Amino acid sequence: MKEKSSASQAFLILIMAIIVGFMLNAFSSKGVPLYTDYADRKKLDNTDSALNQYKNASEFKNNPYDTSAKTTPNTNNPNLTKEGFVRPQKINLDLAKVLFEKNALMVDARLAEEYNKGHVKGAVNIPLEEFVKLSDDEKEARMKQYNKDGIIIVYCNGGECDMSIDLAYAFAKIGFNATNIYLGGYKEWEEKGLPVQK
Amino acid sequence: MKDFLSSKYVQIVLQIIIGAVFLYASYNKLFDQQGFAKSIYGYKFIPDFLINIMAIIVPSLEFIAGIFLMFGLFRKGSSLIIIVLLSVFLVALVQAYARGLDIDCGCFGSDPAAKTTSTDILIRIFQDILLLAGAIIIFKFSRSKYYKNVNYTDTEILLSKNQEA
Repeated sequence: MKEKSSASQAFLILIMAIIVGFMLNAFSSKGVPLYTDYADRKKLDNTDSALNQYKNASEFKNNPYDTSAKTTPNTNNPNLTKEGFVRPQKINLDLAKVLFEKNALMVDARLAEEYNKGHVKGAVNIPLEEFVKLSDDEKEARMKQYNKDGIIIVYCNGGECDMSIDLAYAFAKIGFNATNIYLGGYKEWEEKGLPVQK
Repeated sequence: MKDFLSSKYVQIVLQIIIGAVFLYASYNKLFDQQGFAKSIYGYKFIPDFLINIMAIIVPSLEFIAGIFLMFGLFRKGSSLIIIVLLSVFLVALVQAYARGLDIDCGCFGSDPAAKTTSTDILIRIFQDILLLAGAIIIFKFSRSKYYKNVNYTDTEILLSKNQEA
C-alpha cells in the first residue's frame, strides 16, 4: 500500500513537471527545441578552399581594424542563415594559424583573469559573460572599432569550452560577416608552441 | 534508531533542508534550458536525443518535488523522485570523475565560464550522497499523518487494520 501510493504520487509529480517544464521552455528566452544535434555543434566546417585562398594572400582584403571600409551587404554570402546573419565558420588550427599570420582579429572569449594568465599574442579580451549581458546597441558600441567584414577568430579554452561558439554567433548577429571559431582554443595553440602573451 | 529517524523533528529538518536545496538548485535552471542542456552534454553520459528533454523536465521536477517536500506534501512521492534524481546525478558525477571530463557542473544553474576541477566533482559526489541518504530516510521512515498514534510501527497498524476488517 505504501509502495503503491509513492509510485502514484511520484507519477503525479512527474506529470506536473512535464507540463510546467514545457510551458516554461516555451516562454523562456533561453529555451530549447525538442532536439538539438550537439555533435554537429562542434563539427569543423570544410575550410580547405579558404586555407588555399589565404595561404597565398599577401594581405586581407578587409582588415578587421579598418573601420573606414564600408560594410558589404551579405546577401550573396553562401553562409547566410535564415535569420539574416552570416554563420560563423568552425576552423582548425592550420587555418587559424594562417589567418593569425595575416593579422586577423583574435578574440579571447574567456574571463579577464584567464586571459591575463595567458592569451594568443595580440588577442583582445571580450568575455562572453559580459558581452551577452549588453543590449544590442551596447554590443554595437563595444565592437565599433572593428570592421564588420574583417576576419575575426574567436577562441576560448578549447576542449569542451563553448564560449567561443556563443561569442562568435553574438558577433555574427550584430552584423559581423567573417567570424570564425577556433575550437582547439588556447590549450591547443599553446601546446603547438604558437605565439602567446602572458 | 528507527524511532529517531522517524521522529517528526528529524523528518521535518530533513524535509526542509533537502527541499530547500532542490528549490535553490532548480531556480537558475528553470529559465535557462540552453545552459542546462549544455551542462548535460558535457557529462557525455545521456544520449544526445534525450538531452533537451531532460533540460526541459528535470528543473521543474526538482522545483516541484522540492516545494512539496519542504511543505511536507506528497512526501513519499517527492522523496522518491528526489532519490531517483540524485541517483542519476551520482552516476553522472562518478563517471565524469572517472573519465576525467572537463565539465560545467550544472548543479545550480550553468555558469558559462565555470570550470569544475576534479576536487569539485568529489565534493559534489559527497554532497549528493548526503542528500541521497536524507531522501532515503524520508522515504523509508516518514509517517503518514493519517496514523494519529505515532508509537505504532507500520506492521502493527497493518495488523490492527486487518483485525478491524
